[in-house]
Amino acid sequence: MKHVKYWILALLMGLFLFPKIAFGQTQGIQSGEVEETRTSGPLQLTLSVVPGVLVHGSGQLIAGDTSLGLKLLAAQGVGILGLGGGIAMLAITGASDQFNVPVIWTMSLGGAAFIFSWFGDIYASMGASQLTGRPKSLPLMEISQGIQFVYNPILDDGFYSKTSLRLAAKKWLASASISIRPDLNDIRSQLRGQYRLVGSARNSEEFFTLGDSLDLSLGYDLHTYDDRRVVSHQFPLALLGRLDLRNLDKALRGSFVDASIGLVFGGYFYDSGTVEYAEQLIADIGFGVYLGRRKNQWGTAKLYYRHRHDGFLGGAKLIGLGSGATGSANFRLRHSLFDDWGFEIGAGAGSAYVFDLSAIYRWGK
Amino acid sequence: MRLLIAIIMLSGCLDVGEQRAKRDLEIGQLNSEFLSVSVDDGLGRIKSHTKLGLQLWAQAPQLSGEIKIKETGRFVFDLNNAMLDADLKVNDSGAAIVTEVVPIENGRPTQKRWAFDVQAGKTYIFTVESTQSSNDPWRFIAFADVQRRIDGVQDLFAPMALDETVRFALISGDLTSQGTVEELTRFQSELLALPFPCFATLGNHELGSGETTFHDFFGRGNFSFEYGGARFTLLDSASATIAEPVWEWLDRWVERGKDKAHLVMMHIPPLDVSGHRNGAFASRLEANTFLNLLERGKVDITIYGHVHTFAAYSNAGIPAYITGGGGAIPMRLDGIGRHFLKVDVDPLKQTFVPQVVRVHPED
Repeated sequence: MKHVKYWILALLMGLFLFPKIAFGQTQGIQSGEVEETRTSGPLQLTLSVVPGVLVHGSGQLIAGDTSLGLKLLAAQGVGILGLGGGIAMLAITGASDQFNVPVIWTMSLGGAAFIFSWFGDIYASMGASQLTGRPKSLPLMEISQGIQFVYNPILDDGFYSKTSLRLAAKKWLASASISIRPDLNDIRSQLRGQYRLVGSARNSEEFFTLGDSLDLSLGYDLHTYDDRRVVSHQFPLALLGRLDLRNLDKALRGSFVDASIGLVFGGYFYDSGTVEYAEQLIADIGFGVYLGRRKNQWGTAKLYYRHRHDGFLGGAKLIGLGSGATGSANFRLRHSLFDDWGFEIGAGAGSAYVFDLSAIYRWGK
Repeated sequence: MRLLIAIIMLSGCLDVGEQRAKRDLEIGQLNSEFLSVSVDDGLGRIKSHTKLGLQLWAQAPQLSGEIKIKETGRFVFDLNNAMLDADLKVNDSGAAIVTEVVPIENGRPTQKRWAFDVQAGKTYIFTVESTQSSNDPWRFIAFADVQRRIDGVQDLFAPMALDETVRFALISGDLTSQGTVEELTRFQSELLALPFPCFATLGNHELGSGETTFHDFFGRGNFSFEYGGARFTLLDSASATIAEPVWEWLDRWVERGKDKAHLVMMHIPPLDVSGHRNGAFASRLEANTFLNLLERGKVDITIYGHVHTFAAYSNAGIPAYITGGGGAIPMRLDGIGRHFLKVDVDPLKQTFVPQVVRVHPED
């Protein structure tokens, strides 16, 4: 564990610096910049899916944008290297305790490169940068209230009340959320404190923004499930990175890739009073787009993989070799309705299906 | 709500393992035009049958059940994977029937054959007994994860066979690499080298070529039996979960084992000794719930496979052991290669004491 922190820094910085070093594009997002629609259309979109699923960047390469096509192809290569190298290392070491953490983190970052290089091609081929929004500053405060539905054939399913609060100021962000189902005394609450290590594209003096970023996050998750006599205390510590894909090309403007790596420390309190230490790995990746082109609009849509195995979701139940280790697949959409009001929809598939729908109110621009 | 659930079900699969649990219920049941058979608790798989013959693969040291005969004659009862001292007793409406031990040409110690006279239309109750005092300590073997090293599996079996105090072996999955018919046939034939039976549940590698191919060879993935004053419960956790129907069976088995020494064994552990790797249940919440159930049922020991090393730890206060040293790619830097466990049972003290036996060559 001695060198773990260096792995984290090297890998994450590598991911974020890679496109800037390799492609020489270092400028941030300039407001009022006009996009070009160079390589979008039905043919490009089709090609970006097939054969694009195998050769990322196909849509752009065949349509003649070799610059972006090659960048995406190179990113796919990095992804395959990370994923393939990780799988090889797991096989060689027999999933050894000494290597698991850096190997799985490497695979996660490789997975992020692999995903964004394919989705990026589809995005550019759709000409989606014409439709999507731009990164916006976060408000000082955001509260949301909604419902969450959990379907779990093994445990219980039903509706939960979900409440969240988020505060953002300068380089700090704090959030809290709680999901409650009173009839089962099932309560899951989460606290997060987040500090921005590598700053955002603009307005960083005021509030958090959603451009390139690298944050350090520390949290506390408490799950009391009285009906099943389970209490779990977890302390996640993670680096959360976001790369605005505008760094690769204007055609990817409005899209981003997320990657998080970290550790979860904690314990389980059993019925008998026995307390046992438990740990988990954070290795999450996602691809998303900004929504809301007008100044008073805001929102994001994001597909992401979450590696954790706790909570309502757990990890995916698979038949065969991936059993147990795999996390969950998720989708989340947040969008403004009026200036300060918006909504959030989430869906996740792991050991359970979890859906949520909330109303959002924001204050303090 | 039902509509919502129906939509959800279309979008993916949470019921992995349920098909296998349903298959479990078919094991040991036969209703043909010649013969009807019901093996209690599905503890014997019906390998073949004729009008006057039945061949079973035992999944427990002792079996019982009933056979309904539709033709008069001399009935031949074959038992594979049998205890050395297995003894067949048959009765017809409470009256004992004389059974004759029939020698098998080139038969192995775990292959038994008996013959007895039957009359058409009658139902016969059978029991296969094996004697083990509930007061005296005795020994069994636990191992897992042979996978690709089937060619070297006799490296494991040879030292196992040398110990004359061993009553049987238990394997908690990954007998094969892909669970193909050829691999499972090969594993069963290799087992013939052992002078005692081996009762198996499946691992994730058995799912490589069909969900229930394992069941066609070994029988149930989830089963429980008593022997020598102890209860043994083997579960199918090959998909990193316990299938929904099995929880009800488990409640019953745990209750039955509450006042006895009770071992619970499965392939993928509820919680990995290394949470980072999570070679464990997909859901921690399910794992915690499962372990609470075992803890409330006073289970005395849990033994798992899947992780290719040896580890001793605790889950919900219950002693837990991982023994994944059957020959699959070994974990590096853990100081142990191929191995198996000899486990001493003391039914009076309700204890299980495992001892690691290293196998050479270790890799």
